[in-house]
Amino acid sequence: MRLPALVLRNLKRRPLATALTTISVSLGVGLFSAVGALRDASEQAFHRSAGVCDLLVGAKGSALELTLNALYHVGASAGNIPYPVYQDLRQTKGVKWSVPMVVGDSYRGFRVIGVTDDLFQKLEVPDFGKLRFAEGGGFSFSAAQLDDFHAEVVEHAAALAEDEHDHDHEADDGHDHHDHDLADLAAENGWFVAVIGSKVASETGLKLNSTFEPAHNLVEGGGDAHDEAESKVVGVLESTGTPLDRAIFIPAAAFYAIEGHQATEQSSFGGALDPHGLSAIMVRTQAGYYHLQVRSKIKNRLDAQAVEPVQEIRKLFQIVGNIDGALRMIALMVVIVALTGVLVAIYNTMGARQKEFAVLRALGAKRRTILGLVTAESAAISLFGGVLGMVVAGVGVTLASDQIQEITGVAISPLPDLQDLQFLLAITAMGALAGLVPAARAYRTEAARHLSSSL
Amino acid sequence: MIRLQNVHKSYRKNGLVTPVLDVPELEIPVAQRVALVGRSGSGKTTLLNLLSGLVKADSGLVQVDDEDLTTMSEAACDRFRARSVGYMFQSFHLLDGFTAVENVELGASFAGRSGPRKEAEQLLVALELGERLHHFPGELSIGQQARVALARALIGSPKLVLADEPTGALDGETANTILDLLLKKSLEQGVTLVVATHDLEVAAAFDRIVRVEDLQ
Repeated sequence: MRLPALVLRNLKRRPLATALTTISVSLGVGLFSAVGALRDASEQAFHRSAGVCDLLVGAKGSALELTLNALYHVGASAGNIPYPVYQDLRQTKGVKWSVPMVVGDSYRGFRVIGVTDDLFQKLEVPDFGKLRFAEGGGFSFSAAQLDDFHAEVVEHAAALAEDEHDHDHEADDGHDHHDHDLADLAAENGWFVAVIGSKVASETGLKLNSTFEPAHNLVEGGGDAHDEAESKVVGVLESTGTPLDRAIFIPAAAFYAIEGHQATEQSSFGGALDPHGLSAIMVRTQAGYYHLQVRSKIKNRLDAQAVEPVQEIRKLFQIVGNIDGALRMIALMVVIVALTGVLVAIYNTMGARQKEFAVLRALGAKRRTILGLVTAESAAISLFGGVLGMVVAGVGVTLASDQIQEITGVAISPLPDLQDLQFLLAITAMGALAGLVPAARAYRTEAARHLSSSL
Repeated sequence: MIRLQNVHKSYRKNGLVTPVLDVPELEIPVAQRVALVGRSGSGKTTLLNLLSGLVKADSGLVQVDDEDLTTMSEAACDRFRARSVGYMFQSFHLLDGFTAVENVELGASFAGRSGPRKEAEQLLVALELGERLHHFPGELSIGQQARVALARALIGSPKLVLADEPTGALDGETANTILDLLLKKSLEQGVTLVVATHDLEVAAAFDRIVRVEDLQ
């Protein structure tokens, strides 16, 4: 019978103590591992999502808020930027591509985002590549078409202003009239179409050729459905593990055409509440000097800011890192307490096991075999606890990842990585180290004394 | 051949030295079956422990098959015990969490040989415990436990089998059965058998009786 078999048999002899000490180790390891896994995986996933563009152009204000809102669909839009910012950007040297975004509507809690077809043709997700379709394909709506339609929108706004003046502020009739003109125009061009993310498809049941009506507001069930903007699903995206999975993309023209998205007499043109503006623009720049130049150009504007999403997410995780560090310290303390528990549990059996060790010694076991036996028992409990903890952590991360994906769209993998395996080895080594205390007592067992005492 | 010359052993406790054994001369030929008799505290168990290398003599020579146990390192003594000695204890000391066959297997586990499981099974079958291979000690009668302990002492074909009051915990009939088995098996395997007992009737069954007090 080899040492591992002896170790396992000895652990089986004390099922309750073995189970309790294993569970206590697993709790500490699970907590430590889950905190680390969540942090690492979310940081990685957040960085991946942030890497879809180099710059994010949006309204002045908090850079982090802009990043979270535009890329992760967290919180409300801070405001709009004037449409010409987008037109200027496209003419700026060093801009490879740009995708405008207009937000404000949702469908069953999923954000509806007005974009151009550059999103499908040019945007690349790190480690994934260009967007691919599980079903159907993208819609066709170019930047030039958006420019033309936007000109129509502005023209309608001017007509509205004239109507308002002529009809002594009988705004409601004129409002509806112009909205419907735009809606008709969008319908004629076939722009009431949508491409949905994989999560939207799985959670809402929408599929190719399904129709839906976006609702005003960004919160689930928060607004009236726009029945005039019934849109047809023409494409379902493959899962990217980013917030794109939780978005519904429509042509930006459709968004402008939806009732209530046009100017009223309260509208403030050119400012953050400009109804003809854009919520944000994703920009990919050429590397190096051009990147800085584009950024600097936007920075000089009074009506917009350019932020680097990757940097903003890095800053966010620096803040989160402090909390995470504290949590990991607590978890490490739990692990140490648990290992002390293993030490005490095994040490307490030493008195009763002196005869067992004496018998083994009489059968030819060396002192160091006895030392190894007890140390290995402690290490085995730590290893089992560690593995169990990793499983618990995996389950925890899986549950938490659903919540995180619910909020941010970021998909986190619960699978252990190399760091987890290194941690498991460290825990096992620490367990073996803890086992050395009782093992030292076992090592000193004088076989002859314990055997003869019963004679 | 076992040879002891001018062996002295004493124990120290709290600074007090208590002599327990003096053996000026003792020789036991190979395959001889010897009963060590003597009153309690006469040093029978100490003599067995000296022969197994579990304890070292303070002085003198303890030689088993040309191996001098008094000059051996502890690790070498362990190796010697694992390869060359079978040990049977009075209360058998079977390990609770291990089945009968595993307890027997343990007897050969530290000799570095492979395949002791099969030998353990064969030994137990020969001792009429074929039906009890996978029973735990608590599930065996005292007589069956004694057989398991005997099998554990015989596994690996040791040169020397030591037994300390092997029948002390058994009733008359079972004691006789175990004693017969011990003598028969040691004869079959050609091992040297040294048994400590206070029972002169048991001692009478052996090739030779050594009164420990008379050695001194």
